[in-house]
Amino acid sequence: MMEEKYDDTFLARWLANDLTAAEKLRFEASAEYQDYLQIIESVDLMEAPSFDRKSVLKSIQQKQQAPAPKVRKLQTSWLYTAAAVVILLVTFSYFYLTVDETFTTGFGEQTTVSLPDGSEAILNAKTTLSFNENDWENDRTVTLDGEAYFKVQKGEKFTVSTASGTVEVLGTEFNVHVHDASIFEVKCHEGKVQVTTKTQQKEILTQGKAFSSIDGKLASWTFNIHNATWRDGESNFREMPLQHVIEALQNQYDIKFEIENIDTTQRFTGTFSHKNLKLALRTVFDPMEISYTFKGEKAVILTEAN
Amino acid sequence: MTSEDKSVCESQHYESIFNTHAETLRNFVYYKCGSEQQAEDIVQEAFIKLWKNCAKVIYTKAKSYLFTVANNMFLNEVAHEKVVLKYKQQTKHKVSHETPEFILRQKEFQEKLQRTIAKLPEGQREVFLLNRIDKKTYAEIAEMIGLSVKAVEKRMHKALITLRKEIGNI
Repeated sequence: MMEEKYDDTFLARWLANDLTAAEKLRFEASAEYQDYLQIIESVDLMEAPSFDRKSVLKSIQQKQQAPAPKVRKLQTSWLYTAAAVVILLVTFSYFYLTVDETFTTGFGEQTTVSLPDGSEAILNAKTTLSFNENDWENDRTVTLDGEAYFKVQKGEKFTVSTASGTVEVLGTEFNVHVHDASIFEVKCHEGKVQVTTKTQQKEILTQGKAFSSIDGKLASWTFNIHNATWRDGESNFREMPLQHVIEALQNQYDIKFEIENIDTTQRFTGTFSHKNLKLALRTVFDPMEISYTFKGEKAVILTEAN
Repeated sequence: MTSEDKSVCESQHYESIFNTHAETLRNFVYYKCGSEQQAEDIVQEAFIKLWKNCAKVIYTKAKSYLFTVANNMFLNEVAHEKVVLKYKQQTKHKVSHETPEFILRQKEFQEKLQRTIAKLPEGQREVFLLNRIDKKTYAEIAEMIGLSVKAVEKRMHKALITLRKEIGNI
């Protein structure tokens, strides 16, 4: 046969138009060229059986709505309830067994808490932080609900315990943001931080790295440590469910939103100012195409803009 | 948002993956097994599996995930049928210049070609048809089936050699 004079990818290269001019010329002059050309011309007239993309997608979506996702949902909410119950029990017994120092901030407040060893915790609005002053030398653990920025003095392990997981460090600066059991976000501004979620997922963050678990979905990303944060009067969000951004606005400005007419599961990425309510409303809701109207001083009605 | 950050769990991203890859995936399985029904079932199962694991699969890896899953599912099922391809409708005037004899010979040739393609080893057939019918480049095919580009080219070359030999013999 004539094939022996070709290498083992020759015809593939011919089809991809990848032969040198000389190779091509020689091939086109050969006897077998016409055979191959006829085969390819004929094959190129063929097509695969028709494929009804829409109906296949539909039947996939129907199958997805069948048992599987339901089970998932039940399981997660079950897990969270179980986790919440356990945490409640643990924190309750903890409260009764030891006398804790507790700090709470109200609407729009920020407070700096000095911890016994000179470490600092800066609390954002509507946040609760507690720790055991007597046992501090042996156990540097604080319990957090809300959002706080920590400046930790070097020393033994420092632990932030929350409903969604724990953060462990030696000496560093980092931000922790938790809400119920659904939102858990850690940003490392300096040093090294180890995050452990309730589901025992471990993640080590270095400077500029962040990690979040939102409704059980994990994400890691990097951020600019020089950007303004809530400590500079600006709240940052990344792919945060709108529901939670609205709660953060309520916490900062002590107002109430009516949210019946909007989809609060949409994700919001961006910032809002703590100093100017009008500006804050505009930066959050304009890009989401949601319009807002004041009903009195303290209530805002949200509707989908058309 | 870069494509790596996109979550497969969000239905718009999931649907865009479906719209981009479903048909090629169906054809890929069809070229292996020759059964439209089986190919469609495997596509459905592969996409359902992608949905169930959406939190674990990175957006940019969804494509190779689908092809790997579909390939494994195919290996688990045994039914093999003959691959049958249709000919596209040709415009009439183009054909009318040819003599009836020529048309007959043309038809005969196409039938021979069909039979020979159906008889090709599966590995050669899927590469050959993904390239010719679905117009996928060797690099794209290599990514789908997890081979090197060189290996894909070899299969392609072999498929053509076999086709020419076999058609000559029929």
